[in-house]
Amino acid sequence: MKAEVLSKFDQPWLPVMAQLLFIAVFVGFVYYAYRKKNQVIFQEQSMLPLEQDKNAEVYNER
Amino acid sequence: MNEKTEKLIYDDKIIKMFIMATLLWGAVGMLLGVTAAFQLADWNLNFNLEWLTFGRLRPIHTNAAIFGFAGNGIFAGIYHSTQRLLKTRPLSNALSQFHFWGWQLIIVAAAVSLAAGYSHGKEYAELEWPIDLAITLVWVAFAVNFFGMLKTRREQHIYVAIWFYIATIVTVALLHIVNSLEIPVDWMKSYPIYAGAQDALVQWWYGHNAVAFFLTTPFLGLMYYYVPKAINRPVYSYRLSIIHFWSLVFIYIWAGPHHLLYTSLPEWSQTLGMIFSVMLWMPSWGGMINGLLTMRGAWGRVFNEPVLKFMAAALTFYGLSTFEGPLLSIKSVNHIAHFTDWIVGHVHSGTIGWNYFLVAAMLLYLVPILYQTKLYSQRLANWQFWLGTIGLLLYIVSMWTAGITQGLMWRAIDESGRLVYPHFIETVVRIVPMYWVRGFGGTFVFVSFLIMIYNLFKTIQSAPEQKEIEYVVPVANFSHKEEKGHRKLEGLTLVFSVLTVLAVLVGSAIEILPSFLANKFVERNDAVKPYTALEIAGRDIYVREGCYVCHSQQIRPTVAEKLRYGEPSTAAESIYDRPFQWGSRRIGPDLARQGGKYPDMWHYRHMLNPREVTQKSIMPNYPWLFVKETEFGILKKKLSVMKSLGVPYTEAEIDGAIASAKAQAEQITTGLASSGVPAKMKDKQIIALIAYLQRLGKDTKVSAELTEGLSEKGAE
Repeated sequence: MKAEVLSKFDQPWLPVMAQLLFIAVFVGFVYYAYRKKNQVIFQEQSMLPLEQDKNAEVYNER
Repeated sequence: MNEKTEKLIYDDKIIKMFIMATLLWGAVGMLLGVTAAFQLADWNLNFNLEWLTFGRLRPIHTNAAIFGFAGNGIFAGIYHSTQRLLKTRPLSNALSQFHFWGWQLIIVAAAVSLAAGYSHGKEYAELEWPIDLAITLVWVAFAVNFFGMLKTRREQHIYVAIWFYIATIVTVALLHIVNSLEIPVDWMKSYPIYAGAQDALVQWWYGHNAVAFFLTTPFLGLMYYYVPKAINRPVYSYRLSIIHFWSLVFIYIWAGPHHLLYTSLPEWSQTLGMIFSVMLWMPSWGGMINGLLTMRGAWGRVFNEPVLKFMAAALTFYGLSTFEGPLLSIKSVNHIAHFTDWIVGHVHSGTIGWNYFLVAAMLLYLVPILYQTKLYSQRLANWQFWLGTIGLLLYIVSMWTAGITQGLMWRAIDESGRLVYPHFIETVVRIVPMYWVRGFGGTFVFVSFLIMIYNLFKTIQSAPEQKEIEYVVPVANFSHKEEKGHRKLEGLTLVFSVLTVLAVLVGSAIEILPSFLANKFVERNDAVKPYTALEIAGRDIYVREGCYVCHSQQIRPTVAEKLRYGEPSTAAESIYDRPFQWGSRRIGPDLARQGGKYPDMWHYRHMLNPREVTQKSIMPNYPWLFVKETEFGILKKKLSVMKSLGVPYTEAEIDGAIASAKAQAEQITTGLASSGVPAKMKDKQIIALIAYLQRLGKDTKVSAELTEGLSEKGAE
């Protein structure tokens, strides 16, 4: 029944636009993620969960 | 890095509270799951008690497991990791407390109301309107508390886990509100504003994305935080995590593969759609590989440390279930698997293998740290792991076997073109042994959970006197002027959040639009009339008892289904169905063409004791329907609400609702009198239910007979 209803959907431009938009954003993020000069930034970012242990979480017994 | 520092005490109390709630609701949810599993193996375990019957128990199990267990687990992890990642406390202690107690109250209200039969009749969204409102309120409090942490943070940049949390909070709010739009009839009864096909499409949009944004994205956030923490090394590829996040948000919401496959898109677009359906594997497997490779070089530790063992298993099951999901959406596979236990097995490989195991890893890691002690017993944790894993494997394999066996039996046709197994019960009896195996597998998982509770309880007991810990954190003072690109974007929390919201909203709008316009595409069938007042009363009983968890009302356009049930269902048939009752599992046969198939007395006897008319049936007895009276008084209000939603009832029909319902009940009871049913039964709920069941598919049959008659006349 779902197929029956959707097969009559008369505005195919909508999902087509969504696909194109998705592809554009996807390609953009892949390009951004794999740009060489961002490598250093990503390395820093990836340390965030661990850095807190080194720098911030200092046990201070009272 | 800022050089100025200040002291901060994190709010660990709220985390501990959510951990306790996770353990409590996890145990409740699993106990209910095991009970429901054995009820299918032996119907006697329904004990003829209405509040314990499978149809009511199953939604309580799913709500306790999803919202009670997984929900509280998510909140515990989010409050812990977000405070540490952003070096701040939740915005307000009062909001945290409101969030916690409000959420627990919702779960209790859900359990009590579902047991009492107050159900909205839509899977994973069964709760009635006052509880829906409470969920909205508590979720908003959580969102304010969470975004408050982003505002008061002392860390300039937002780690990838936080992105997943943002997407979760925004999308769940959207899904819940859109799917819960309903008009109240009284304080615990409402009808959805959507009907039939439209209701089904909105519900599936909710269901599909709720899995994505309640059981996937928050857990991925937890994975990206706790796996590096536990292994003490950064995530394998931060680049991959960026692609993982945006692909998940986009593909899940935007490239709804089912929509692309069925719509009248140009062929190139359909092909592209297929490619993206397959690409759904990419972000999921990207995430899994990212998590597993974070453990590279430390596999020796994985074998020895239960926390890492659970993490590795959780990621593996995440990979398995996200591979199986798209596989099941392939038409030829779906043809066998749909409505069978294969889907149940698939769901549990995700909820137990991914959600339970990841929460277990998080708790075994977190509780000792929070209570400043060591885990009570590594040995017990190892027992927990192996029992849980073996139990889950028993569960999955038994459900695969049951699902494929039954799916093949349903469609088996012999050389003469007849069904090989024409009696539905034959296909049920064949898989009952698998239900026992599933029950034992579930019991193993439940016992493993109890072991964890004991282990953590003893850990907490052995903890030293709790001291508040002060952390030295940098003073918040950062500007974004020197930042560029995504790094700058992450620094601008508000902008980043708005972009995420925008991505979700635009994607949702694109996917939901065909659903909102669905009514426009449903070809009207003038023979389909609104339900009578008594049928409405009967339908509400059908919804209350959760009949939809075992019976579908959707005959698919296949030869086997046509032979077994009759003409395939059409969207026009359910235009007055609020809520739709197409169902998702056939533990019993489809009921779309049930009307007139058997006499009223058959239904009367069947509901009293199904085995009287169908030997070896596993359906529970419904004795209370023969004692409880139909609420005739509210029918006028019900029809009036239906009319306000667009059902073409006349004022006369509404005014005469009670009288007409009583007259129809009397007519049915008079028919039953010859079989010895006393006249006083006319006011009982069984009569209303019979009225509804006898109506199912009737309009279409009348329409088909009329068409046939007219064409015969034409031929003459």
